Amino acid sequence: MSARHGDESERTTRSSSRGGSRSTAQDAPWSAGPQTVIGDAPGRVAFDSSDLKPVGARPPLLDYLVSLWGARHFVIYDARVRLAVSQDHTVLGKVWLVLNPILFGFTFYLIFGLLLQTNRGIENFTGFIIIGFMMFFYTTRSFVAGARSIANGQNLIRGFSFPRAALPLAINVRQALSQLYVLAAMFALVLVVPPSERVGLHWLLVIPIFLLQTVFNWGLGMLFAPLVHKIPDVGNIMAVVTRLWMYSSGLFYEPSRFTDNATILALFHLNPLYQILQMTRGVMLYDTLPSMEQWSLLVVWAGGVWLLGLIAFWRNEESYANERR
Amino acid sequence: MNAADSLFEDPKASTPETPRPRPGDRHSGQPQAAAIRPAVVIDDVSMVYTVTSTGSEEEDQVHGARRLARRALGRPPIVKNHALTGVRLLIEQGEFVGFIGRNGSGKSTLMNIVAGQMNPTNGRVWAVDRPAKLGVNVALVPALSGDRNIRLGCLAQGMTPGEVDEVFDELVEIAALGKALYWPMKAYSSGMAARLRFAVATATNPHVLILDEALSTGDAQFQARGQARMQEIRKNAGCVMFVSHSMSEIRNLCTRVVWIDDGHVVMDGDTKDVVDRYDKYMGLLADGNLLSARAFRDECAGQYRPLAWMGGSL
Repeated sequence: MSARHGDESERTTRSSSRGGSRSTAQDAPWSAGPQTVIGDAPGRVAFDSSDLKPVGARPPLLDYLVSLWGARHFVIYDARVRLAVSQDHTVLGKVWLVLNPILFGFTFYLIFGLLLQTNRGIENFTGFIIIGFMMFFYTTRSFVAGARSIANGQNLIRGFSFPRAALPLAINVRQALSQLYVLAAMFALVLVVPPSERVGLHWLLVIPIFLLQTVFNWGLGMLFAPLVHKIPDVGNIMAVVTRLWMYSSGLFYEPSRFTDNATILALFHLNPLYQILQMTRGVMLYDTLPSMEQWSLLVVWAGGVWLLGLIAFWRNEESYANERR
Repeated sequence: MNAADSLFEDPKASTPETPRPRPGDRHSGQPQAAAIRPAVVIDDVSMVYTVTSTGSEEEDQVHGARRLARRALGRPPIVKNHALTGVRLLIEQGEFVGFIGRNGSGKSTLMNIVAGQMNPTNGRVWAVDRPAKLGVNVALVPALSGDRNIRLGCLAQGMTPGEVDEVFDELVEIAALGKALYWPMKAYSSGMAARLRFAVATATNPHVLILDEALSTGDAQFQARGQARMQEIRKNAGCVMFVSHSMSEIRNLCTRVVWIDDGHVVMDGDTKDVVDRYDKYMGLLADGNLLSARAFRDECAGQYRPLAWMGGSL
């Protein structure tokens, strides 16, 4: 039958009073049964509403995670090709993926190892500072990119429907892939730059540290993405926060040499990035394995931030489609 | 009916108490036992944008502390733009519905809301399937080549790599881009981008396809292909929602037309009927007869009967 609803359904005498609150799956106007009648007699028609699903509604958290798993192919492909073309505008192209971190680390060797020849009482200061910068900037890069993932993914958000958490995840996968080059450069520099360290099986512990750091970054991105989307001003504050964070993570100094204050030292100690740097340096430079306490601190930080970030991101799922004007 | 001027003033205005049987009402006198199969139900959707306005004397301003705070910061005041007001529509499977209206009448806003790309300030949209929308703004990832964009777009719609491989050649054929397929998308003309985007959007055989002036940038060959593909989707128990300013396209393709003006549905019904009246309205506007155009629009709107949900079963 060819239904012209303007013709068929007559206006009902029951005036609509469902203003204000947004209808959800639970209070659909036709929720009384699988079939619904529209319009007043005699022009009324029935329709089968059993197949209808709300558009753009946020699924329950577990379903959301399942759909995020379903988007894994998209996530991986997006991360891979975007990393692959990220240097296409340069002359050397993909070589920069390797060259960038090596030059980055080399500058520190130049300044601190050759020029200043300072060590501030730290053994293998060049290695100390190379590891510090290379591990620290992984988190800030992922943090900033993850927090802006909604704005940068607007084309895809407008074009397709997928769980939006795939965007910060794809960015973190991409950052993790590029961090692999950085880690390779870091290993090479620590081995080559004097005083060179000896490689050992315990260096493999960098892998779980790296993985935990990745989970932490991912959670951080999900936590801040909805905030930056709602209040763009947060994007400007993030630069200040990351700088503050940099100076409070002991990138180029050992805090215990500057203060005896127990509170300040405890604050350093609770800083997950400080712990990540210390653990990596311990493994690679000083042949000391991270303590159980360090591991558990990092696990709690990574797991906690990830869970918080996931919930915050999921709760705002419906808002990412809204245009900012 | 109310005075013509007040017709669009208050969306919550009370409705006429007595339903008038309309001429040509095929089903009067007998309730329909056979259930119709909806593809999209638009339930009481309203959309209010807040925009900054530099000339906001007689506009609907946002008041209160927010206004004072913006004044103190030297930012322009924000005003409300009622893009859609209380739109209720039901679109059946197999329908090809055209949406017409002037620029800024709310057509694209409605399409964005149906596609889930925007949340209405009030109301909700229900659909049998995730609607796939194809708009004028079709860039995907500008830095990626066309073939990578096709793959990325398909994966973003939840296809597996295996499924993408299966349909990939077919999509390349639909897009018909030739060697440009391997160029970065930023080098595409708008028509080429539209071809690629169209191929991706129809890859999953969506049940609900929304075309927001998507074919307008294409050439004749692409328009013919696009129309064939849309008929195919319609046959697979889907529906197509079609926004266009080309009345000949609307007349040729659509089985039903909705005329939207100023965020309200003015008419909803038979293609010829609605398009004829819309043409007359636009003619009046073009001649500068603003008052008679408005009176004519309000007369049309006065005959429109929006849907009402009664709930329960027959």
